[in-house]
Amino acid sequence: MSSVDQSGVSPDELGALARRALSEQTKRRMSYDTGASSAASRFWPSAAELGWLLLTIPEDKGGLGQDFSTLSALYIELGRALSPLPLLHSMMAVDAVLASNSNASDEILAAIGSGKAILAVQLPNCSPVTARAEGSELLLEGKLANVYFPANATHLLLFARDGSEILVVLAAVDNRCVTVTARETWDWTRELADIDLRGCRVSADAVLARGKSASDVLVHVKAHFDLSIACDSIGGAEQILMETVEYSKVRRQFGREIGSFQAIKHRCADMKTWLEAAKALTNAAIRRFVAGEYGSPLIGSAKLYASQTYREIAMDAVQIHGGIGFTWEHDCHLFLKRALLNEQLGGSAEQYKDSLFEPFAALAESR
Amino acid sequence: MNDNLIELRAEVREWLAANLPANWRDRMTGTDGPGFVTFQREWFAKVAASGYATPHWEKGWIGGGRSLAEQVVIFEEMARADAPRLLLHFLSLYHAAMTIGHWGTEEQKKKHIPAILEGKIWCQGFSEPNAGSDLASLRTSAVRQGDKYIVNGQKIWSTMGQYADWCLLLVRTSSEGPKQAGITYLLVDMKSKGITPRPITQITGDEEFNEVFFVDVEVPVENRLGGEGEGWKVAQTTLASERGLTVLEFAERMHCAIWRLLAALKEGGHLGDTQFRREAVCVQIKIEALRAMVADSMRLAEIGREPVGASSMIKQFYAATLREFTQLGLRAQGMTGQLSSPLILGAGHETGNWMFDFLNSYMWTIAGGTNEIQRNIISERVLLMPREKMS
Repeated sequence: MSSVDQSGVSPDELGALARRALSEQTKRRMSYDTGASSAASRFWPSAAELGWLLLTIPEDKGGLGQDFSTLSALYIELGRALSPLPLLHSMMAVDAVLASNSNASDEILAAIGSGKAILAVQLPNCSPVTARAEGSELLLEGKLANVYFPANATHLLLFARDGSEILVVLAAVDNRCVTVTARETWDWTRELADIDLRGCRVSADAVLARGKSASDVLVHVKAHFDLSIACDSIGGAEQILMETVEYSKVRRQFGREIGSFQAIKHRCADMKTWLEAAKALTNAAIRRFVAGEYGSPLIGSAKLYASQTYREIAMDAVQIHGGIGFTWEHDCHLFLKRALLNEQLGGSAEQYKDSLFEPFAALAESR
Repeated sequence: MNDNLIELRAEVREWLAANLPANWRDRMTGTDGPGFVTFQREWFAKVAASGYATPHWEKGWIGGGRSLAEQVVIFEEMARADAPRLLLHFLSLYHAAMTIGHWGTEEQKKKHIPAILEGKIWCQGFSEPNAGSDLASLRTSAVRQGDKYIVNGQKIWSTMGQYADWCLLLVRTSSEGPKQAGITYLLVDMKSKGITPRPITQITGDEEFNEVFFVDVEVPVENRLGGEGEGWKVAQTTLASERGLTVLEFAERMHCAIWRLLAALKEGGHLGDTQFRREAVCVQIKIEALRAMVADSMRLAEIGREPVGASSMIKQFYAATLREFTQLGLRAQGMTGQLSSPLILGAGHETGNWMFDFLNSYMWTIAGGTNEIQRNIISERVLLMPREKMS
């Protein structure tokens, strides 16, 4: 049964439903017990059944026709639960397919929406692979190192370069020409891999977009990615901050709760303030996204600021928990490691800052 | 974007083009107190007559009943045009008008609110030398004698107290029970016998704040706002107006002053410097986050759902961001920033005199409850952490 009906659902309601589904059907440590892809596969059918994969597919294409503000509630909950579910990849692919308006779109949207297709999207900050037309086919070559890649993906969405032209290519994962080498990561809730495309031939139909329209898809997908990581970070940060505050209310030293010491309280107050700032910024950025302003500097800012805030909160969480926070058995490090990865995914904080300077300066000038 | 906002924007822009004194910065650069006051009065009279000074007032007042989005447009346009702030009348328009509007009797409202529009200047007598962050421990006393209170004591940090016509005064009417319970709120005519304001020279060299001495000052009982012993509750309205609405203007002002920061980078030869560029981006991101926080909280306030502690978080975040902004501008100037240059009075928190702006930013991490007090409020009221032991 779908948790999202045709009349739509508010982000708050969807968030509450998702939180319940995740807490009933998944466990925080499942990725650490069984590996991320196996844990994700187990929940994938439920995610499809709950309608999550249909969320942003338009109603006339069999989806639920919701926008990113609704989807954001799911990203927040997945972050809170430290979920390995690679929802982000499928949802980025939906945006890419819709934005590129290709003929094949209905079929692939149906496959994504039902959960049959599991997508792996090349993050927009990776250099494009090379593409060369050969008759009616396209020859893809290239290596991608340390990319966020769901191990059981059935389809790849790639950004390729044919000479000076950018292409968006959607191809089924063909083990004969795509070698996926899983890399062991510190954060076990997500999987990184090296991808090697060697003489991978795909039909020309696999090209969803090229040139200007492909560049637009790239910007759109990057914006989607940035906001999803911002939301994931907010969910994780909110959860670990709450757990830290609760711990400080029960842990006693010197005859009082450690949460009564200003050294602890003031740090928690700062974390709460930064978190609220990150949330407000992210919501403002989501409104830009929904309005179609995918190039708004607020969007990259939200990713940068929310992931940085998550990392800072997760760092302080370990410190405030003290000795227990330093153990594998305690959950603090699970949040810290996901936060550290979030901050690097899509590019380092420094790269984000460098890419934001000019757009911000242009805005200031235009005022 | 909504049509009426576009229209309002055009209207404000047109009004500013016709009414903003072109040379006001020159006039205010290095001016003295009387020069500042004369100019502020002129500017206030114009803005008040246009209705743009009171968009946050209730409908029925000139310019009142504006939505949050409309208020933002007005602030944005004022900031964009680099219009002078209404510094002299600021407390009257916000603190006094909001508090009297909420708690005043019909007579009090009728007497004071139209007078604010006519230019009456209010100051605030809350803090005392020994009651800063711990405001409730204030000791200025008011003893009831028939239909009068006799007030004795000393206040401090009264903004524009040297020019004020009236004062929002917190006094102690009882020392029984919890310290908050013995506080009463009075509206005091600054021309009353026994009141002496004395300007305080601040670390910037400016004299915005005052000490105010009260010796046997007679205040009619009818000038009490709220009941005897209700002063603490009434004061919360004053403090809330300071943390909510006013930050909206400050956030817009800082947002519109980003060009000054970029100009400082350029003048210092740092436009190609990666470190400076990255820091400038971090500041701009915080300004955007601040604006978003303020807008969210105003939207919630409009539907009567102000989350606990939101104003403390916003104030703390504003103060930290202003510090970062001004510090970066000062650093970008290098040695030039160390050369003293004349103050530009009434030009807000981002005057472009970066040392002044940086030093002045301490006002926001200290006044209206220090950042440390805000952190106590956030941790205790929002995160529900154990309270400090209170005396």
